[in-house]
Amino acid sequence: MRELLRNAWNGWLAMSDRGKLGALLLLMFLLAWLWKLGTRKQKDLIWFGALLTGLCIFPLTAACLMLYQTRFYDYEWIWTIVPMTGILACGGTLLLEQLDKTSCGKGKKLAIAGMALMVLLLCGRLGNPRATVQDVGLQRREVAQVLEKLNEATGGSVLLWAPKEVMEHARSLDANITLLYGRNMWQKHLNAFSYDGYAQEQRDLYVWMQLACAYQRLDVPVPADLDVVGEAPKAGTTLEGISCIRKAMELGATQILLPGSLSEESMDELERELGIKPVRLEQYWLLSCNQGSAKASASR
Amino acid sequence: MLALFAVIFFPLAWLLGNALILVLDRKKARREYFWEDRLLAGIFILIGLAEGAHLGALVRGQSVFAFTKLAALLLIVASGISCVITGISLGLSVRSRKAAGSKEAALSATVGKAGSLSRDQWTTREWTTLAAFLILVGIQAVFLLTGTRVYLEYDETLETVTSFLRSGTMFDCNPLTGLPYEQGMPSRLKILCLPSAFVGLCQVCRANPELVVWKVIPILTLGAAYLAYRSLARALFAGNRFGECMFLLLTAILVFVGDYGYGMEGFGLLHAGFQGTTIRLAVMMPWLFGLCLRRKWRLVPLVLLAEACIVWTLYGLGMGILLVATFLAFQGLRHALQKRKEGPQ
Repeated sequence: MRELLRNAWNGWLAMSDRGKLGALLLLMFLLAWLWKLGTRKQKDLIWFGALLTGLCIFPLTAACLMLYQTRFYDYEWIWTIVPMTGILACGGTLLLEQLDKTSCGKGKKLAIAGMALMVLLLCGRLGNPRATVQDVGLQRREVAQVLEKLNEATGGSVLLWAPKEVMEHARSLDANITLLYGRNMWQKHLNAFSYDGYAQEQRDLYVWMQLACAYQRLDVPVPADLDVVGEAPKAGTTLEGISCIRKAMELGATQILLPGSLSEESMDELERELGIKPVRLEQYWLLSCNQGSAKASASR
Repeated sequence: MLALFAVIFFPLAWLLGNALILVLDRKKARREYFWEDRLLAGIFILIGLAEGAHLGALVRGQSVFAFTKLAALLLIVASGISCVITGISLGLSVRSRKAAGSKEAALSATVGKAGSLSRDQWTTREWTTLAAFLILVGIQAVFLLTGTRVYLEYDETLETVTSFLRSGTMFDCNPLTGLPYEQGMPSRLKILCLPSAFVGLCQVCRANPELVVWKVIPILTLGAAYLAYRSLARALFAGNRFGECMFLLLTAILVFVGDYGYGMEGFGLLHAGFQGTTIRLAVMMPWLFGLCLRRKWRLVPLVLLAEACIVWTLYGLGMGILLVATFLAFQGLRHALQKRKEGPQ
């Protein structure tokens, strides 16, 4: 319960830190109370909204609401019951009507309305959402191109292992392609959609691919500050590229895309060890494991 | 095909919603419903039909084709029943009009004119406010149509839709990998109908899933959200056209301002309009508020059921029922306080 209360309070702090509409809502209640704004229905909306807002801010009631909505949803979703937009729009309209009734000049009224609009706009982030909203257009076009060429090059069923940016969009672009792991490898909230999890060896493969992209070499050291869902490989150890690729082939990967930033020498080394010739595919190296898998397992 | 869908969607929703209101409420009370209520009721009936077809398909072996067939059948039956109800109502109204000699009675009984604005001239101030609102909504629609700023972190809808379309079956593989489930997925998620509804739309319109999920559905959600807010505006500012227009304009501005974080209405509408949580937050809740304020209780169960079809919270109870219960408690408390204030008579 203590953890739930802490989550509820931290949730409110985080929410009020992201943007200021919550604060504006409280200001609106204050103004509505001071100036006795609104008709009966408008008052109903505003004061019922105030009650709900109180329930969402006060940690004990917020914790109860979080229990009600189950742990599947985060704190911000208890605010679903607060008609924030409705209250602010209603209160704003009433304030403007109040302003209209005052005896001050038209210019002054316009200036006040303009300033109120500025305050309102500054309560947000002016079109720059902090949450990770990706502009996926360009990235998806690039991945679509890669997948098209991959399909042309292979022409059978594909179980793909590739860098994160390809794995992220592969399934939504081409459902014929299957993956060694999906987006839930790095977006932990997606794990709520299924009971399945990943084995440590799959997590190792994800980490290796990320580090290979960053370090641009086959054998990569594991840093201490890894951000992985689940148990990460031990910090300070080295993940070897060739054994990781062999592991991926054992797990059934038929096509492997490696970062194009890996050197030609590394690819020669791969060819020698695995018997598969990497070919260039857009900005990646493609290893088609169908032909070489027998030879690779023999060379082990 | 998608354009055809866009053309018939709202009239179809209106027909279904209108029939429901004709069945649910008395003739006099029917006039207190707005055309927005009829449209929104129709949209929620469509969600209910999709859920029925989805559950039917799940029971009959999880085939996507079965879903589309069943959904089309349910839609035809529901539309037919709605046409009959509307026709009967219109006939009865015409008869009563003849009897009463009133010219407008028939039309108003079917369409409803409650809360409609006085037909006096629009002032410049009202026009300007309405125009500004429409421009902002237009910008938001263009942003949704042309932009690709989508929030994917909590969502696998597009992968689910492409998986369903590819395999022709539902929930047989993990949509994120395409590999068969080992442990499976929670049943509470399996029964939600939105992915199947999107698949049905893709199949019927032969449209690209990305276009349907990331563009068409968010625009429909945006439109439905403004319908809900228009209904709320008419309830709050009855007879005050400037108030209504200003309320809507401020709502549109708040959608832009609230774009800053996950869980905010503006953020959902502009970046995740295809998610059930966004539809609940931006469409269901404002409309439910309006219904509670106007004491139109007969439509409330429809919203609560529609919520259970698209978002699963606490065994399907949902946030809507919590809102209604809190509202009733608030009203009870207010009455008690008022009585106490008035003192014993």
